[in-house]
Amino acid sequence: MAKEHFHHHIFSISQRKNTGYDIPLHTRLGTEFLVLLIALMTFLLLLAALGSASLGNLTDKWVGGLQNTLTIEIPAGENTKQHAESLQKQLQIMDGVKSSRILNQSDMSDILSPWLGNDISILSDLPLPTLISVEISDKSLNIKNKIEMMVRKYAPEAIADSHESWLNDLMKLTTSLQLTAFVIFTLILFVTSIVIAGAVRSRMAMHQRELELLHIMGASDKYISFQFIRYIFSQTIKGISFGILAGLIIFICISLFTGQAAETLPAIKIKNFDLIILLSIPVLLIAIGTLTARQTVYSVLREMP
Amino acid sequence: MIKFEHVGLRYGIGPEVLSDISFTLEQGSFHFLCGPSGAGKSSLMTLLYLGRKCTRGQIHMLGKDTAKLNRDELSELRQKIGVVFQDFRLLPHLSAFDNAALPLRIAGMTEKKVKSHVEELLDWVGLGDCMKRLPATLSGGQQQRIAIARAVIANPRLLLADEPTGNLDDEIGMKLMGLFEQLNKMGTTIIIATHSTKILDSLPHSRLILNQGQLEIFNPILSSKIGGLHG
Repeated sequence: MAKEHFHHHIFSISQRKNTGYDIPLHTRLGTEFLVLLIALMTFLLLLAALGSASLGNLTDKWVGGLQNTLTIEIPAGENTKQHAESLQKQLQIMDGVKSSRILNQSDMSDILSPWLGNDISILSDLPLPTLISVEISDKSLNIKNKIEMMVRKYAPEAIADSHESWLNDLMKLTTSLQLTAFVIFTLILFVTSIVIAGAVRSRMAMHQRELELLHIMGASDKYISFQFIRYIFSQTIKGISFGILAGLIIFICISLFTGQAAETLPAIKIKNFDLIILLSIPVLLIAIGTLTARQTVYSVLREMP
Repeated sequence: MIKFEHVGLRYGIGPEVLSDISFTLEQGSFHFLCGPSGAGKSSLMTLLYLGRKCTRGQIHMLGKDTAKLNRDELSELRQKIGVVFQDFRLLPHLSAFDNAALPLRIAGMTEKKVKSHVEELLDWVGLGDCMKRLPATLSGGQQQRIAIARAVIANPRLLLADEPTGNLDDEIGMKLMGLFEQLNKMGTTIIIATHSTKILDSLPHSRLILNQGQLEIFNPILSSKIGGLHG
């Protein structure tokens, strides 16, 4: 019985399919972590790229919404309504002003409902300022200064806010976050390269005997490096596939979540440029993986005669 | 032509394992490399198959100064040298066929030609029915025949064999020596490291005798009769 089992085992070994590797790189020797690591790196790269893209969307949305607007805030007081109407009259005849509108109680309710709830009766008890939303058609007319002068004349207690400083702060914040995402992106690629180089070196040390044999038989550095490039390529493809799958799951989850909270959070919209960045991630990883493998093999082989 | 001029070899900072070795072997000659254990036979073989650089002296292989060759040229030169190792050095994950096919694939031969060459040679060494088997499933003698097939398949200009008949019975051993003789007649230079007095006595080829790292003696009588060796 044992003999039959042995013969069956031997037969199965003898019929094993050739994997095409002269160096047994297909065997599991502790470098399988590479697939997981590349999957993780792909996932992080996707997150960094998507994060950067959604930050861009957020900025575009807010900047687009506020860039050509100005809000005049008249504090609650005895003459508030009168001052608001005077300002509104002047704004309607002013060059460079596309439209202007005194926000009514319903508008105020919409603005404040995220904080105060939908009960608008509470608003009448609060000393809320009156707001005039002004849409500017032409910025070159130095319209902001004109409006400020007019506000000082007709409602000295009011403030004209063009949101500029707030927008500038927001732009600085998103730019620095996008830069951080880019640095993280570069670091991930750098770390991937180092890990791949380490895995290749480790594999070369494990298969020193086979490498020496191929070398003695006249295998060129190119021939040997091709075996490692093929191995790293297959591991990278596997890792990228897992990473993209994980990324897609997260992307769908985030999309569903931001869809539910569309009022406060920007939805992730992938623009053409973002799409190019996303598509370049697998290409970059494959390029970095294969180039690193090649360079590592060459540098180790240079130590051989 | 193989020419060693005042060649020395040391490993690291250790003593010289080969000292001031000088000889010239003509293309198409046949030699035995003899000497006691530890005499430096393996080291000399390593230098001959370009597995290591000498620490002094000059080595000319197949008419080329090895010190002046770049890595690609050295690889090309190595492809013209067949080596049979004492421990076979077969790749355990490759079948008998794939092991024997390695030199042809390294040389860039098409798979169609590889198949016909390998099948023909494995049939010739009596392993036609074991082509798909892995080395671990073969006997020592069968493994040795694959190692020999691998060494000769690319029709090398220099064949080096380290105790090639060590695991073979007398009949197959002599058949193998016949193969080497045949290759030699086709112009291949053969160097065989052996302890076998039976082989040494039965074949009238010149002998490189190493002792304590020095090429002390070569057989002047055989040398003068056969030629091809100049100390």
